[in-house]
Amino acid sequence: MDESGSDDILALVLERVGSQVSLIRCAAVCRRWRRAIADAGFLRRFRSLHPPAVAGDYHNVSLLAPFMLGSEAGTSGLVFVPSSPSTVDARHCSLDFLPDGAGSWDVRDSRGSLLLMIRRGFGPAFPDMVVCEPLAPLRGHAGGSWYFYVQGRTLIDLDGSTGDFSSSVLPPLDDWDLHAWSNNFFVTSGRDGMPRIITVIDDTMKVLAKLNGCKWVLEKSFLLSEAAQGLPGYQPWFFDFPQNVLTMGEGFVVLSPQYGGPWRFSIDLETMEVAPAADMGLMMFRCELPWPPALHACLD
Amino acid sequence: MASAGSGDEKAAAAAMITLISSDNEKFEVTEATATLSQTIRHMIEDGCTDGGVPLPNVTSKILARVIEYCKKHATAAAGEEGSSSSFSDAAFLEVDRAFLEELEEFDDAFLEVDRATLFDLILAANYLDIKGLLNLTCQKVADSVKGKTPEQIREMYNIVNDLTPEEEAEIRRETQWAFE
Repeated sequence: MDESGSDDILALVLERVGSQVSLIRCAAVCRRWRRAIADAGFLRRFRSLHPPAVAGDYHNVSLLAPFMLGSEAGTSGLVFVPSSPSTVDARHCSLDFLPDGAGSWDVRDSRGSLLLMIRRGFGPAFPDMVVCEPLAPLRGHAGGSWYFYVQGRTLIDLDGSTGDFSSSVLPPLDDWDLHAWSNNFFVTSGRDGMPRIITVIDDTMKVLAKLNGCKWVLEKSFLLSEAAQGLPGYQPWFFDFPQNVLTMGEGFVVLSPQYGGPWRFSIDLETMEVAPAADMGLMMFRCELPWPPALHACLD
Repeated sequence: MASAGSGDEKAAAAAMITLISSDNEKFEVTEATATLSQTIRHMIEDGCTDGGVPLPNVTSKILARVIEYCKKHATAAAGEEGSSSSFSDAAFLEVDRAFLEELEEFDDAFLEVDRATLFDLILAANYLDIKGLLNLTCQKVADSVKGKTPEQIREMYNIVNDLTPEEEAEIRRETQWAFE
């Protein structure tokens, strides 16, 4: 493309390079190509033409569940399943850089290429949390809000768009410190877009909502064994053991008994209706390739 | 002009434009073929095509290929207009589909050229503002770099590497995951 004198034509070609990985390789060809690709206008246009590239999905698997679920998770608590066809080598999505390796951490949330990690079972007092980006150094931005729990019933809300922290106190109806330790309370959003706290303790699931945007109140509380009764494959003894929260999204959670094989069901947080969730698999937290890509070196 | 009567219609359809390549070769094409080029369309609208349209940036070899493309696609455009306005029979849709397939085959065969020709076609398509041809040829080049390393891309397109080994290492460090 040296024959063509025009940068316009170079941009026309480069914006048609469909894959983000190929684009970053093109940015290492020579200075002219690198400048053309690092251009903010070009990157905007490229993004408008091509959807974000998904590196893969992280799944949380309980230390015992892999055998029961027949997954190849081994002894690690975390599994990375690359997207198909694979966009990047799965080695780069390894979370082994975390203290004590990936096995002792759970993914709690993801935004783009960022992951919010919480250390499992690390003392009842202060769960360690990190925001990390497995594919590139942390960029420090995230959409929506991140929620952190601090000992003494305090929930910290980090607004991803402003970077502001705010906090709220959880009602004394549960032993929150213990829940935080055993990783069975989560924050997700309801269908109204407002945050919900979900706790799954033994057979009981509770949903808390924020009243007038400030005070957390109990919205729903019900027995999972009763809600799931009518589902095909239901066995009462599934609910003698804890439930794993496999995934959650706007207005729903997907649960699976920790023992009892691959049996999953989803719960609608509004209607509390249950449905089999077999074909959702273990999808947990989607990790996209970093965008815009880090293109800082050699742009002079 | 076509609405005035069948006589005028015939005249419009038969209106010929002369294109003159950089090496002074003359090509007679219909207006329908020529106006796939926005550049020539504007010239026709401005009434400055009498005595031929000189194209000093396009050689006869490339212009012949460009005209080949425009002829094929002008027929396609005419066919589409015809079928959408007056026919909606399944039989005609079937004909349309067959024609589109044929057009795709034509495009694939059209792109079977060496790299130098491909770049000349991009330059001509850009200069003549022929959107379909520009998209087709740019996409062909873009597809060719998929899955290639920077070194392979440089070799394919004779690009001089103006990055020092240290700079290359720094670039790779930034986005290591894209290089393995």
